[in-house]
Amino acid sequence: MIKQAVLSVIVSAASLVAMGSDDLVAIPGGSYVPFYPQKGTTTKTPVPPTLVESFLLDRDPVTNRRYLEFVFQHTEWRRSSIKRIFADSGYLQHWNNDLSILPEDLDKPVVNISWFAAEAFCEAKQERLPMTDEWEYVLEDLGRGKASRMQQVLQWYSIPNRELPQAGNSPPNGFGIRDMVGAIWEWTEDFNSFMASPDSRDSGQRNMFCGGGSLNASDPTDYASFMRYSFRSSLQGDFTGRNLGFRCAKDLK
Amino acid sequence: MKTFKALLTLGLLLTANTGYCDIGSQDKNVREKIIGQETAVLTDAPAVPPPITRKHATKVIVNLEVKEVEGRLADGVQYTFWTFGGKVPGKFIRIREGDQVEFHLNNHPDNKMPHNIDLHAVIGPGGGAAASLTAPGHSSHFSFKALNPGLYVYHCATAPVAMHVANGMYGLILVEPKEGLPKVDHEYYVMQGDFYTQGKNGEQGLQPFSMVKAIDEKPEYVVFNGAAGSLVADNALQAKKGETIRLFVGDGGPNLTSSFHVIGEIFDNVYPEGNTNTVTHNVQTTFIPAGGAAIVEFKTHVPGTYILVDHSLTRAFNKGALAQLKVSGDEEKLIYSGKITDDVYLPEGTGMRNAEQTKVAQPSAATKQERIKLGEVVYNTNCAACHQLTGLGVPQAFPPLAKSDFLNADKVRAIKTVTGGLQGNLTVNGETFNGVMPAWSLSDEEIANVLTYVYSNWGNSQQEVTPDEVRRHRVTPGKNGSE
Amino acid sequence: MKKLIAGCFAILFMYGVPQAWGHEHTSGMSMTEPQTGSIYNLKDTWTTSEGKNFQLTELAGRPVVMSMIYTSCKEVCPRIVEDMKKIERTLPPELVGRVQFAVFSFDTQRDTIDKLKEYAKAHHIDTPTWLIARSDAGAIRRLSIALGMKYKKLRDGDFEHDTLISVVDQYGVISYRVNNFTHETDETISAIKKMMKQ
Repeated sequence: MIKQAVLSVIVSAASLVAMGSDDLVAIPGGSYVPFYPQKGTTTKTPVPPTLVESFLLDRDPVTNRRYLEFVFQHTEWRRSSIKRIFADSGYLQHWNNDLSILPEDLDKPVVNISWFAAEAFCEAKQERLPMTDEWEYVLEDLGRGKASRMQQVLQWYSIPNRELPQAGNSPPNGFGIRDMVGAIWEWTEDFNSFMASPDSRDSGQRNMFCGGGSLNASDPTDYASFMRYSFRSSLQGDFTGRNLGFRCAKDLK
Repeated sequence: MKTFKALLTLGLLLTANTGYCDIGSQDKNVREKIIGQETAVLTDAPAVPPPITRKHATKVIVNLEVKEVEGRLADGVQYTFWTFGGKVPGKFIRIREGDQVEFHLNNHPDNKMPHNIDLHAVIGPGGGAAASLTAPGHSSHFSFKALNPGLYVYHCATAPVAMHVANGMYGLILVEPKEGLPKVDHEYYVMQGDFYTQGKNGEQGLQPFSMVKAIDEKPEYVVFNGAAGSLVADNALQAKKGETIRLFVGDGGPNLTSSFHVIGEIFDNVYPEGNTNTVTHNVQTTFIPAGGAAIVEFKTHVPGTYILVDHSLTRAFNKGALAQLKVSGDEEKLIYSGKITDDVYLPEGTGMRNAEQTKVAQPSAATKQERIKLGEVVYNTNCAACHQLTGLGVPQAFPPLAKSDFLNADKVRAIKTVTGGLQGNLTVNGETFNGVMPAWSLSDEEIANVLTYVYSNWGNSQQEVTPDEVRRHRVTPGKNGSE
Repeated sequence: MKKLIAGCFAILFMYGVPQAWGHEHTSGMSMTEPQTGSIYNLKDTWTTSEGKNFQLTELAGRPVVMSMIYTSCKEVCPRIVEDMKKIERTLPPELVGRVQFAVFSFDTQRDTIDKLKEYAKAHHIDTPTWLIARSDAGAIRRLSIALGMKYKKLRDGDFEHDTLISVVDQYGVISYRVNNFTHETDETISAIKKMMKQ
C-alpha cells in the first residue's frame, strides 16, 4: 500500500520532536460491569461489578512518530532485527524500512504491532499496557452516552478500514481519552485472559466453556462487546494487524 | 431391543419413500482410502462446480478467503457484507463422500473482524469453528473427513454469530454421494438470507446493520443470493423448454425459515433438508430451515418466466425474496393454454348494495394529528405501492407526491383526483406522466385522512382536508373534471 | 444426528484456540531461523524449587516438555502434571533422561520456593529431569503469551487457565502443542523423536 518511498523521511535523532499527544491522563478508580462476569458469579443478579483502581492512561493511541523514536533507540525492535517469536512477518510492514515512513503517516496510530512490541515500548517508558478491565472501564465511561456509543462502536467494527485517521481524531470521552473506538483495535496486557477454549470442558470449567457464548454475557444484546472479545480471543502475542495498535498505561503511585 | 428397532424401521419407512440407514452406517467412510490430491473448484452463486466423476475418495484442498466488502443490497441501497469469497452467498464447495478435506480459512488483512467457519458437513466440536478462529491478516487450517453425504450449510460462528451471519457469512457445501447425483441439464445455487438495515426498506445510501431489528427478527430485506433482484432480468436463471434443472437451495438466515416455491412449477423430486438418501416427489413448496438446505429437481415444460419465492409472501413482494427462471422455447398449448377469454362475471342478486352492507365502523379523527396518523395507515395500504413510502413516486411511471406542485396548488382537485380517478397526460414538477390513477372507493373520513397525511409530509403545504370537504367535492369515478 | 450428539449448541457461539494445535503449527517459527523463533529470547529470570536463578535459555540443548500451573490448583494442574509424567514414562529407552520436563507457576504471590519444593515432592517430580519454577508477573505473562497459554487471575487468588502442554526443541522453538488431556502420548513422543534426529 505504502510502497512508494519517494516521500519518505529519514529520521535522525535531531529531528525527533514529539508531536503526538503522549500525555497520560489520570483515570479515577471505580467499578464497571464486565461483559463476561467472573466464573461463579453468573448466577447472581445483578452481576457484581469489577473494581478498577485509579491509574494513568495515554490520551491517544501511540503514533508512528512515537514508535519511530522508540525503535531509533532500541535497535532490537527494528523491523529488520525483530525476533520472530516476538512478531510475525507483518510487523511494521507499512513502514518503508527500519527508520522511514511516509510523513503523512507520522501522527497516525502505529499499527502492525505485536503484543511483545507494544509491551516493550511501554516498558521502555516505565509504563505498561492497560489491563483489559481498565480498557473496558475507560470505554464504558461510567455509562455516559451509552446508547449512542454502542451504535458508534458497532458501526465502526462493521466496516473495514480504508484509511487510518490521525491519532486523537475523535472527541474525548468523559475521562478525556480519545480514539477508544473509531481508529484501531488495541492490545491489552492480558488479552489472553479471556477463557473460552473448547477444551476447558475437560477441566470441569463448563461454566467458562459456555462463556464464549451469549448465555453468560452480562448483556447479550451488546454485539459490539462480543466483537471486541472475539477479536482479542483470535490473537496470539506475535500477531500483527493493519488495524491493531496500542496505548500505554501506568500505575498511579 | 429387536422390537424397538423394528418399530424404528417401520416409522422411518412410513415417513420416507426411500433410503434407510443404520445409525453410524457412515462410519465405513472413515476407512475409505484416499487416493491423490486436488484443489477444490469454488464457484460464486448461481454457478455450481461440475459434478464429481471420480470413483474414489481423494484429498481436497479448499482455500476460502474472508472479505469484508461494500456491495449492493437493493437499488440505491449499499451494505457492508462480510463474505466467504467476496460475494453472498459464499463460494459453493463440492466434494465427494469419503473425501479428506484440508480446509484453509484466510482472513484478508484489510478486514476488521476475526472470523471462523462452522461447516455443517463436519463432525466434530464446533463443526470446525473452534479450529478456525482467525484474526485479520492470518490464515488457519484444519482437516476433516466428509462422512455423511448431503447438502450442507456453512457459516461463520464467531460471536456475535447472529451478526456475522446477518452480514452474509454463509454458503453451501455439497458432499456428493459416492454414486453421484442423476445427470441434469442445469444446476444452480440459490440461497436465501434476511438483512437488517437501519434504514427502512428502500431507504437509499450505505445502510448500517441494525442490531435492534436483528434481535427483534424484523428484517428489512429478505433476498436470494445477497441482493434484491440478484436473479432477475439479465441475471435470471436460464433454461430451455424440456430441460431438467436442479436447484441447490439453502437458507442462511440468520432467523427466517423459507417456504421455497417456484411459481408455476412442481418439483418432481425434492431431497428434503439436503438429504441425498431420501427423495420425495410432486412437491409444491418445500421448507428450508435457517441453517438448512434442500435439493429440488424439475423438468421445464412450458416456456415463460417462473418466479422463485419464499411463499411467506410479504417477504417476496415487499422485501425482495424473489428470483426468476426464464425458460425459452416454443409454446406448449397442450400443457398450458394461457388466457382464453375474459368475461364479466356478475352473479345474480349482487350489486352495489354489497358495499354498504359490509361497511364497518371506522375511527374518526378528532385532531389534525390524529388525522395524519390514521392517514398514514391508509396511505401505506393503498398509495405506497405506486407513490412509494417516501412519496417520491417512480420516475416515468408514478408521479411524486413529495413537494408536488400539482398537489399543493389545489386541494379540491386532489379530492377529485382520489375520488374520481385520473387518466392521460399529467405534468408534475416538470415531468410528464401518462398513466392511470384509479378512483378509490374510500370513505370521506379515509380520504380526508390520507390527503392530510400527504399534505403534512415530504415538504408539502401542511393543509388539512376534512371529511366534510371530501363529501362536498367528491365526484363519481371517471368524472373528476380536472381535464 | 451425530452432530447433535457431538456438540452442545453453545459450540456455535464460542471462540476457539486460533490454530489447530499440533505438529503442523509452526507459523513464523520455521527451522531455518531457530534463534529468532525461540522462546529462549525471553530474558526473564526464573527461580527453581531449589532456589536457583536461571534464564530460559539455559534449558537449550535438549527438548523440553513444558506447561504452566499453580500449586494450590486442585483439579486441573495435577492432571497436567500427570499427563507430562505419562509422556516421560512412555519415552523410548534411548530418550530416557534426555528430555527435560518443566512447569512454571502462574502464582507469583502464593507459590514461594518452599511451596514449589513441597509440590515437587508430593508429585514425585523432584527428580533431575524435572524443573518447577517461579517468577514475577511480567515474566509469567510473557511466557504464557509466547506459549499461547490463556489464563486469568480470579478475585479469590485462583487462576483459570487452559491445559496446554508444549514441546520445544533444542533451540527453544515450539514444535508441538497439545491442549487437552490426551491418553495417548504417541504423537508427543514422535514429535520429540523427530526433533532429536535433527
